[in-house]
Amino acid sequence: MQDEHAAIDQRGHRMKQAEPIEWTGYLFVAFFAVPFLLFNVGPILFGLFVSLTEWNIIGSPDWVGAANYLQALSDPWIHQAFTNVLIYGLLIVPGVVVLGLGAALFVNAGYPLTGIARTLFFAPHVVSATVIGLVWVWLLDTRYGLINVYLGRVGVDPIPWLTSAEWVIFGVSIASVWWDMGLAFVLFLAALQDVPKDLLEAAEMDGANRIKRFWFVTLPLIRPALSMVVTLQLIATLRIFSQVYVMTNGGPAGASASPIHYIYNVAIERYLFGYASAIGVLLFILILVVTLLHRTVLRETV
Amino acid sequence: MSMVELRNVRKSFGPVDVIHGVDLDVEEGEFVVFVGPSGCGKSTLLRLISGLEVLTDGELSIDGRSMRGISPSARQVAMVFQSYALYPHMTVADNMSFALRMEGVPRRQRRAQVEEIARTLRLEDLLDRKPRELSGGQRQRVAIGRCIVRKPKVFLFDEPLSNLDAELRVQMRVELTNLHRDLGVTSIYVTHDQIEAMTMADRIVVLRDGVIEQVGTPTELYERPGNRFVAGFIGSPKMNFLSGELRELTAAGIGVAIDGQLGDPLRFDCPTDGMQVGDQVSIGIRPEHFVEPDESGARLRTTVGSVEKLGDEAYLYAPDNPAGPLIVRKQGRAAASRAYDDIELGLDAGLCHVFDRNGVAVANGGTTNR
Repeated sequence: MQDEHAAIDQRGHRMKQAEPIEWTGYLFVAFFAVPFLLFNVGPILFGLFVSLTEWNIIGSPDWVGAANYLQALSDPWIHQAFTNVLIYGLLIVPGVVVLGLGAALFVNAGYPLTGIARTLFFAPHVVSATVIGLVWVWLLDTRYGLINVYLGRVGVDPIPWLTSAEWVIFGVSIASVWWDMGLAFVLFLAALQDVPKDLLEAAEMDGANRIKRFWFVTLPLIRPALSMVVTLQLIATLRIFSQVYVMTNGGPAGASASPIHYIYNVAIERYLFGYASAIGVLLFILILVVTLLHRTVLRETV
Repeated sequence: MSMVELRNVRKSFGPVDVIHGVDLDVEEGEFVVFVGPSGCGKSTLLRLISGLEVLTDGELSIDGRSMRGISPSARQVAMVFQSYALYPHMTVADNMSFALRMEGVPRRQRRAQVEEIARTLRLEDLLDRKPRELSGGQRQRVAIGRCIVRKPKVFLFDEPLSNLDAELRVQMRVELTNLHRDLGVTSIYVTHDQIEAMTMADRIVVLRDGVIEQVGTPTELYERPGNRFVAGFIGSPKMNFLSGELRELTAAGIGVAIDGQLGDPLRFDCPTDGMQVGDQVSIGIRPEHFVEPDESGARLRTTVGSVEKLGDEAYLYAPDNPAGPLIVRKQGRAAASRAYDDIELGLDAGLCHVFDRNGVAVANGGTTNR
């Protein structure tokens, strides 16, 4: 083989040519790499650049340095949106983890009808957020919504789920949990099915009751899945948009607005692309910090 | 009073009956081995005793106490699992003390107890390691230690050596036997490996299809198997089963001859109810039980198909023997046979077994003609 690649230079020395480039390999990689560079890396770098400019999409961007960032830090709407998103995180992430894990435990226990339950738990996840949002707007309607109707039967006064500043974050969170639970459920179920039955039986013989078996054996063993669900859900929640846009459009008075929703408003409605990009970068930093923090707390080891 | 008593124990999984009415007594301090091919119900029987499975019917008592409705942890039994089932996220010490922790034993006392047992099992340097940092044999010892800590009345072993390599298996076999001798705790041990059964058991329970085929000491099962199944299962290589015919019938017993046999029939003292001259029988001879042929005695002539040499002994295989395939163990100089040799094998009725058409042993060891 080597001789085929060897050539003779002008002075008559045999010299080894470089290995021929495997273009086929690059071609396969290109299917991913080109779109990734074009649609991910490119826009990120461009966004960083735009965040340092003033630009309304028509004409060329004007360099303004850190002005957008300084403005963002004193913008009350941004404070509101970032506070909201932290509250969303505190509601949605635990909600998804607890309900997703609960549903997975139920299905994993193999009670009758768990086959149907499996489908039902996962079903919301395949529906688009817009549909989920519209359905929940209807369900959470203050006067005619099913939720308030049922609450009314047990004597609870109608709750203005989507129309009061106090309740709106809860309203949007309920819909989000319901939507996001499906994926968490599937991930937890897969992890639970990987827990060796022997271990649970050994724990049973060691005198651990159902709750202790869960706490001392199951939970430590599904920790990688738990960590993954929390990471994915944290990131998804910090980027929450569709539900907010469809259900409340950020209202009332910005009480349910999220950073992405605000970015959308600033960019698409007000054409302040430079400012919007700066907020985007700030959100990126927030997500990075939260994820790193959480990963050091919940290390992915068994 | 027996330590473990099973009375007409049955177990079904849905429509499938797995254990069909088992009666068994295990005495205190005894080492009993359940052996049988896969699917015979031996592990299920063990799990019924442990409480991990619930009896469909029958009675089970441990140390005189009925186990009906008693949870696995309250039965004072401990189990070593085939996979060891060590908690991967806990250290060796935590694994061993988990049961004590569940009982609410204070930490310091737990540590003391674990350390004491770790010394006897040579685990004291490994107490702070995780199971994944241990070798197979060490994991095995931790699994055993975890059982000892609980001071159970009965140890249950579910094929504990099947994940170990051959050499370690032999070593652990000896260790387990010694441990049983030192602790004296009643032990029930499940295996499909008849060598483990033979070497470790005080008594062996041979199971097939959820039924006990025979219970006895290793020697009893080897010398006096109750039927063809037990005869074939105990001993390695397997007993040869050769087709033959009942030639003589007297008040005292029978004479049988293997198809193609030379010399006198093999004579056995045994009850002869219902037997007739001309009945087809099966004659069982272990590979190690062929003798030097003499000129007038009972003997077989056959052609060697292949030879496995193992140093001072050899196994001769004669797959085309007319009365049925043969394996013969030869020792010393006699092991020099080669493939395609015609050989003569001497038969000693004292070392032969006769099985009737249904596989039931009619006679184990007849009148020796040596």
